[in-house]
Amino acid sequence: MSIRRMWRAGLAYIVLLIPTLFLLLGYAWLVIASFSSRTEGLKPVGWTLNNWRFLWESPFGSGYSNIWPVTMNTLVMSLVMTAIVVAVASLAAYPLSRMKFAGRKGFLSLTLVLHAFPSVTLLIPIYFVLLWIQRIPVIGHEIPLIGGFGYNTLGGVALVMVAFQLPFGIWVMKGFFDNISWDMERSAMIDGASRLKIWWQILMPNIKPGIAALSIFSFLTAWNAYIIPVTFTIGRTGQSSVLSLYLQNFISESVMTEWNAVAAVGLFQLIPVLLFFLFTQESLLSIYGGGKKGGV
Amino acid sequence: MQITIENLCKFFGKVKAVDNLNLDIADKEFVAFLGPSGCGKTTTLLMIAGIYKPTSGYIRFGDRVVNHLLPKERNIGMVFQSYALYPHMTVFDNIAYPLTLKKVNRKEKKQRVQRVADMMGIGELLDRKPGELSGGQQQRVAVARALVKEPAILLFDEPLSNLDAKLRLRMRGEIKRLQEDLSVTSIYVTHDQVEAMTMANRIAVMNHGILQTYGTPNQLYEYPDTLFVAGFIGSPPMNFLKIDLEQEGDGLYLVRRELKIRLPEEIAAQVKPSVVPSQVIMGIRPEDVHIVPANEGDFDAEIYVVEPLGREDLVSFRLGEEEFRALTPAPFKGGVGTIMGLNLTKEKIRLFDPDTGNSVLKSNK
Amino acid sequence: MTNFGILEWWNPKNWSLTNYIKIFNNHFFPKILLNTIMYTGLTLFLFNVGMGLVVALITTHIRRRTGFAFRAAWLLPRITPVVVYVMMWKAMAGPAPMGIINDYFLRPLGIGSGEYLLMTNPWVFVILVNGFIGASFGMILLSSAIESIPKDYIIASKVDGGSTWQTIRYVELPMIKWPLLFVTTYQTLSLLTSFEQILLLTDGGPGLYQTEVWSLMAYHRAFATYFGNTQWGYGAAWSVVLVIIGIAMAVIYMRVFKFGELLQEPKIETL
Repeated sequence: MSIRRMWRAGLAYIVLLIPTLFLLLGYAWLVIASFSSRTEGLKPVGWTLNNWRFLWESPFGSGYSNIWPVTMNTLVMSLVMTAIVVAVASLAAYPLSRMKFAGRKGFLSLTLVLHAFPSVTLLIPIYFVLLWIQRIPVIGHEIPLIGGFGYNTLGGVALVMVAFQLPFGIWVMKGFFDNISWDMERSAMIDGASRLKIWWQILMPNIKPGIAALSIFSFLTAWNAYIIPVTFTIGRTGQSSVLSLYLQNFISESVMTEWNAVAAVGLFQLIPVLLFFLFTQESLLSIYGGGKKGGV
Repeated sequence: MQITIENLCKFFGKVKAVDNLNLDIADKEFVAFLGPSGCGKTTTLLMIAGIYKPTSGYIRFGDRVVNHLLPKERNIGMVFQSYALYPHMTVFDNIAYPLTLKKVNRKEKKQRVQRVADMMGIGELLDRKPGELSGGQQQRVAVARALVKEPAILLFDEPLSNLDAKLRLRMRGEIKRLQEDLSVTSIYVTHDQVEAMTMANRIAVMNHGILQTYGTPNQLYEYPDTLFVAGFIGSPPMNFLKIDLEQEGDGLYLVRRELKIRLPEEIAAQVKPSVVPSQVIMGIRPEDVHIVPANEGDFDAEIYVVEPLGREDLVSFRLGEEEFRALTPAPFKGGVGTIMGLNLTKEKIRLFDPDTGNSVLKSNK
Repeated sequence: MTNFGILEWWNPKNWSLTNYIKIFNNHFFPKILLNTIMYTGLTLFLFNVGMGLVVALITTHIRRRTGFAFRAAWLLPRITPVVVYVMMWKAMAGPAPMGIINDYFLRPLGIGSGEYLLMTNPWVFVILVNGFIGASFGMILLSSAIESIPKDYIIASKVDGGSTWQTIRYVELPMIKWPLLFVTTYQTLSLLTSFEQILLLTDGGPGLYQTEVWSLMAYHRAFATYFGNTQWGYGAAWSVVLVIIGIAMAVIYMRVFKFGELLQEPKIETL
């Protein structure tokens, strides 16, 4: 009996372990390859730091800048997007979760439909919208740091990502609001607080985990994004290029045998993600937990 | 502050939560809303607080209709079952919150918070967060927060049901004393009839959104208006027995297979003539049923189970399908299956209409 | 819907259904349809639902910390930048001696001659790449569903003499029926509309349309310049079909999963 049970438990571990190890192989390769001149499987053929030259010189030739402006772009774009998503989602989710007004159910259903929408269908119309915004003075293409909100600007890309992220963000935040006890809000009302004060002074401090989870999730989504930046910007190391584009261009200009340098750039983009991951796994796993009620 | 409730109705969609409620609460009175869960008592309380809007009817504070006032304009304090303390604020900030919102200056705020905190015996805990307090301490903070703005009306929504039995007994006494000392009009919602009986000046019993009865604890216990009230108030509950009410000569008799009881004059005089003869439900409290040797009482019955309660023993009998209980001084000697005689204190017999559940005795409150 | 040009999109000249007819007359239409069904079906069955459920079940039945570590590992592909993630897989699939799969699995077993596997077996990788990302959704949702089953049911089943497997089979699986169905339908839609990984991995190749799926086709027609000019209208027509599927699915969610009931009535009526 006990041998059979141990065997079964062992089997369960093996079933889980094999695909998990397979999954981790890629990450192992990334780390090893970025510090070696060539790899055979996971075995490095000579350790080197040469692959990390991209930190101070451009791999595309001396005409191009190094990776830091691109990193800065990615960071700015991600922060702008995260800030807008969290602000709008938490403001929108509060009345949707807890206030009585006409059209509430309709609006929630609509966000759900939007969430189920295939992104590719929206890319085409958004392309035209961005071209149109670009022609507006100042807002379109002349804001410092983010470039503006038009086509081929960081702000524009961030705005598009906000649009894609908001339905999800609103549902997640609504899920967290839904879980707060009604008595607490009633109590605050009797104590004399307005709904806006209740939102800011009572509810927001109590859904910090939700805010954190949505922030991290949004930031990572923006940091990792490829399809939206590639569709709505021009040029590989241009003014509004981000890391994903930089890396993808590097990949397509390299052959397999030179991939150690590419791996280093990949690891460079992955490092912040891994740091987030190490410190906030619980938060990330909980985004679905809080949002579960809202149907992710 | 006097509270008057007139024809109050509340619908949630098609569900009627409160049905044509009429009630008045005198200034400084302590009233309990008593009933099983879902009976509409909390809904009524929340309408008084201004959280829910009445579908129809009026709520008045004094002479003023308050239906459309916001909760903050009603000058009320409320204590919730879950305490509803703000977990991210210290005890001080929790209690001070109503004053902070009113922009009371810092010095006065500190004085008033300290005063209510000392009154509630939590003056030493002001720097803690609610999460670091015991249930009883959280309860005190919640009461202090309700009191700090010196409200005209205090509302309690099952405040003791999350406490353990011993603490509940103690808080029960403290809240009652507090209400008397402060002379604040108070409404206390509970499903625990002992709490309602021990604390309130008057009890409003509700069921299915309808007010069953409204009176002092003693009235409700001695002369319940309905079968529901009779069964809900008192522990162990009142015995009920289906029985025929018949006229024989100049006397009224209760007749059933195994028994025949003549109603004493004072009860017989109260019976509404229209119900004789008919089947009624006889109610009698277990303390008014006395166990005697077989053949010596009003009727005989077989012991089903004996439950010692400490001071007394609760003895259950089976009468056909129905159960009949007697409270008797402990220790009771007599085994399961023994036939015993039962003697009723006939002046305590109450009679109800089996269809409507209403008392068929003319009220003599 | 139209053949509008880029400069006057707000003023379409010639309304017609030409673009829709073009879809069905496309020589590769059957191939793309088949690809879409194969990609969606296999990835869904093997990974998004299959692996998701397996990982959820196992990680909820072993030591809590260990289970959590495994779940965290499976979350990794979802939060890895997609370009980096696909690059890792290209390296895994690489020709011998660089490629990990060739070097560690195929060569010792004597299979193949160390080709670039993305060229010889693109479909395997399309499914693996998407599957390892997709499994995490089901895993997270299902493991939280399993963990929220009241412990009394599990204990009752054990007391009744059920083995772990029997408890899973007769108690836990029936109780997570709805989350399971939700994951299945939701992920069907996600897979139908996803194309980013395939775009980066094979770009629909190798060869003509070998791994081209519906949504990728829509993207290619609209944004890639295969034939010298982009075909906005034609691409939009491809994607409208997806929109219809998306709306239909959304309606199903609302009906079957009763999203209406999630919208609890606010319990405070004053503003």
